[in-house]
Amino acid sequence: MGVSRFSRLLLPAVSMLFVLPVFADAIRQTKGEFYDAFRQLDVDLPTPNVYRTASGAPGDRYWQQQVDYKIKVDLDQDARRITGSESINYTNNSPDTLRYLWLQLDQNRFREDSIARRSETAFDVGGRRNLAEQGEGDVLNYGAVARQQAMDDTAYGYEVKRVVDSRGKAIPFTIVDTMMRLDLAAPLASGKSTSFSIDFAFNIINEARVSGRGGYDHFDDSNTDIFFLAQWFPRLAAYTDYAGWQHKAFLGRGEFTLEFGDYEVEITVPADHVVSATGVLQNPGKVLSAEQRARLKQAETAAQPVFVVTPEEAAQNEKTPSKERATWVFKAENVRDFAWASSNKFIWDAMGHQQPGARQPLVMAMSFYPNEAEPIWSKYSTQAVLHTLEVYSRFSFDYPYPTAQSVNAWARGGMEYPMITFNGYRPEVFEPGEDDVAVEGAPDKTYSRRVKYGLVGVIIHEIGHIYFPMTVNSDERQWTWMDEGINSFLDYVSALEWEENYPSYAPHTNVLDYIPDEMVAENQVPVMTQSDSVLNLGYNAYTKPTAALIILRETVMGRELFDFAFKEYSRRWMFKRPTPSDFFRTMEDASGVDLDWFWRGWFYSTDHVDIAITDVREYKVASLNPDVDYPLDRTEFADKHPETLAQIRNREEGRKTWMQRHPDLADQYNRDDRFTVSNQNRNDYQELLESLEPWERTALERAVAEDKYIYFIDFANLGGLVMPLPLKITDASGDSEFVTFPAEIWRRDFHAVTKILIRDTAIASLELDPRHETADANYSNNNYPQRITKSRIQLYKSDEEDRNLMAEMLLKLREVKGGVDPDAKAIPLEQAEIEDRE
Amino acid sequence: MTGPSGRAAGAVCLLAGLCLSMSASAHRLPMGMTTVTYNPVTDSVEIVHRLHRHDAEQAMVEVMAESGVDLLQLTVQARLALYTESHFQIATVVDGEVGTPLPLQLLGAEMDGDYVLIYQELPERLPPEIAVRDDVLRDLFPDQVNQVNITTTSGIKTLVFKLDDSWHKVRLE
Repeated sequence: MGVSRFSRLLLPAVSMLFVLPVFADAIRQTKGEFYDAFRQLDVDLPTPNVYRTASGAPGDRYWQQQVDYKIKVDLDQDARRITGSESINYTNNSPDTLRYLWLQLDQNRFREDSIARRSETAFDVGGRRNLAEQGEGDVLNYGAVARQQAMDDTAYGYEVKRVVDSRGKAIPFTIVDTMMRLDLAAPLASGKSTSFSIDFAFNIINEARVSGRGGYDHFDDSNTDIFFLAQWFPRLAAYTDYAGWQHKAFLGRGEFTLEFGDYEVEITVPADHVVSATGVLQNPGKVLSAEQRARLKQAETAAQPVFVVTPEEAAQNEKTPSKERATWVFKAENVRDFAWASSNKFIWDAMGHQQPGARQPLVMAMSFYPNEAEPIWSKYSTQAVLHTLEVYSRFSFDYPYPTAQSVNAWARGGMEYPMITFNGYRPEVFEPGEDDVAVEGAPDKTYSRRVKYGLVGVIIHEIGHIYFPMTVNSDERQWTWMDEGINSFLDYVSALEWEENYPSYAPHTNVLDYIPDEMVAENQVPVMTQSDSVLNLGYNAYTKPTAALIILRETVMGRELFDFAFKEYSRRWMFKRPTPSDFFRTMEDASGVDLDWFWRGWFYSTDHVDIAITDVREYKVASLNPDVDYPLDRTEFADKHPETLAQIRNREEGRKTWMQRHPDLADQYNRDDRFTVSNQNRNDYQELLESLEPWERTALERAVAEDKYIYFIDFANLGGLVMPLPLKITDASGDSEFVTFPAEIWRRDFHAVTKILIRDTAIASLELDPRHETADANYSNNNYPQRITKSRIQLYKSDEEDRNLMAEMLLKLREVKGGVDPDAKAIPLEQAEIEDRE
Repeated sequence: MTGPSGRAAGAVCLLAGLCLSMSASAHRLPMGMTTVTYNPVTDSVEIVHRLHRHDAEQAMVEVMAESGVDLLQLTVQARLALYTESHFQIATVVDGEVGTPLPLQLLGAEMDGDYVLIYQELPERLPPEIAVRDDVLRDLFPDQVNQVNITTTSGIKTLVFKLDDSWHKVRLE
């Protein structure tokens, strides 16, 4: 039977490290300093094949496995334990014969002997860390202690009880950390199916202590719980054309990728519970009252969310626990996972979202939350779900499932599964201070802007994940950015459409002004980094791809081409498995815009944007005619070379030169200067005119007649990322014009380019990227004439009125108790927050 | 929970703070960004702390023990500035040890969209090696991470403060 073999685990990726040469590229520039920022990615992307085309679409022999589940699961509320039995039907659509199958055992991540647990560092848990360099002993924070205690008290991880085939015969299995291999009795040929069953159990983690994607959230005051179960049953690992079995161990970060299939799940819980789950409830007659069923029906066409379970009913449920049990049955078709939440605390509201003409004409948007989450949840949760469906569907495809649910499972954060999301944010409990006069009718709970926009934002983000990656099934274990980056981009777009000046990236905090501070920093990794290895995850996997896609949409491609290509990507890969190259290729294929330079810079490198205007030179066309040009040259020379001061003073003193006293010594050189036109000059000019082709002479004559201004503008690429050059040109009259030179301007010189502008009027000033659309990290070098840009602090100091008010306030506050805020709780200063336990 | 072998077997400390809660799929990470830049025009080092308004407001709720604080109020901004001043330091490094703190001057704070900026200034150049401590919000939120970008002649030096970090030393040339 099952054997744990943690010590023998060998990841293929590890052994590959030894053969990686310093230069991985086959193409190398070994002379000079030429860097081809526009080199096509063909060499670097995987070779197209019958499964994935060179245009980024699924190939004509694209395949993916199908896995259908029937699960019975029982929640033991008191023991905080799950016991389940699943029967799985696995269909091998690959061209390969499979002798074994791999399953994911994500709960094993919480075992003491897991790779995740054993490889934890202080970074992961805030635990032990040697602070010798700071002259400190080791320190441990409360969270790490509580987490360790929780792990000491309870054995976590799967208990795999029984694995049998359809005839009840035991299937040998081997557990390798968070993965389990089933050795099939007979090889599974291409196109064939096999069925087997697994009995399993595990202890549910206290999520607030242990930290995970599911668990229970305990409410001390009422001694009640919300259970939210995710990654809770042994699930088939993905078997793909691009990676074989995706069985890289779960380390807690790189989430998962799974196979699509149909689910039928029977969930048995205490009878006072309300259950929210992936899919559609099959037996409302057994678990809901007639009145609740009527409300659910009414909600289908309601204009406002309707309570299916009211706050009063939820309060009653939670006060009177039931000894009875109830089984909730759910079915879900063509989903890649199944999650659920259960509690006797849940209020439930619902409202239908109509999609006329879609495969799923009615979608039930629903929310589940405890009274502790009110009043903000009934006001905003379901509305935010509906808004997300509207915007995301416009950018991708009609929402493909019958339900979209938002569950308040925890105090902060969010997590996504098909048709169901777990979302944080609850209002603060209002506690009047000692001096506060009790106000009649004062709310017992308030919520801040932070909570409000945090809630709306997290719901948009997590519901958005039902599109990416729950429907467009990218591989999160490998590439966090493919779902988090694309989804953060769309949640930003949706937030802007929720209300103007939505404070995620309000006008003053353009994400493109926000990201450069990160992009110039040392702790960057390329966006194309495997999930578990990404440093600074929020920026590299969420915000930087968001910024990149905004730049593509608004500046590089334009909305029309971007939106068409993005929709095509969504349509092509809906219910399929895209890889990064499929995204890159589709965006180019559908838009007709070469973006290899963009992917190379923004996704494969850690360069940032800093482009400068380094010099501007102004010219006019010379006529070449010495009778025209030489007098002009003389004036210009005189302007440039003022008369020598000593000579001026000699004259002022009335001093006569030798030549003035002896004029007979003068010859032609005294009469003519170097700008005097000679006959030789005139002859040369005539010869030159004769040597010109007629069209050349016409061009010259016209240029002389038009008398235009000619500018040579030098740009330098200081940050490394090549980008388009959006340029505002203002002439002497104050009129301005906006032009954008495409990024291809950099193709022959990555470091510096000179652009020629020919204009009717003189240019007074140039401003590069005035609309802040390229994520330029330094705007002080973007102007001609160079503008003395004041730093933020200089600007702040220059506003004397505000400054004085602030100075007075600081002084006032400092005077009390030597600068410590009089109303403050004792702020731990310096190292005072470290209490020595001795 | 064992101490390091040798010197101080009992010197295991507990950091005050809320229990650790790493959000499973962080929407917006609680992150502070500080830039330290020499300005040749004013011959001073300019320090700009950028905090997310929501995080800063929640922090002031804790610090001022009041609910519903609003950073649009000058007094709240000033308190945040004082709080920041007491939680951020730059010190000299002497013989590899953290030396004396440099006299940073607190200028104030202002809102910038969804962020609040706190300004400090040092009317001199930075020494070639410094130590930096950035505890801002980290005493209140265990998953707060602060990043300090220091502009040098050869590029940006980045320091990241999280969990139980205290002083970080950095050479600037």
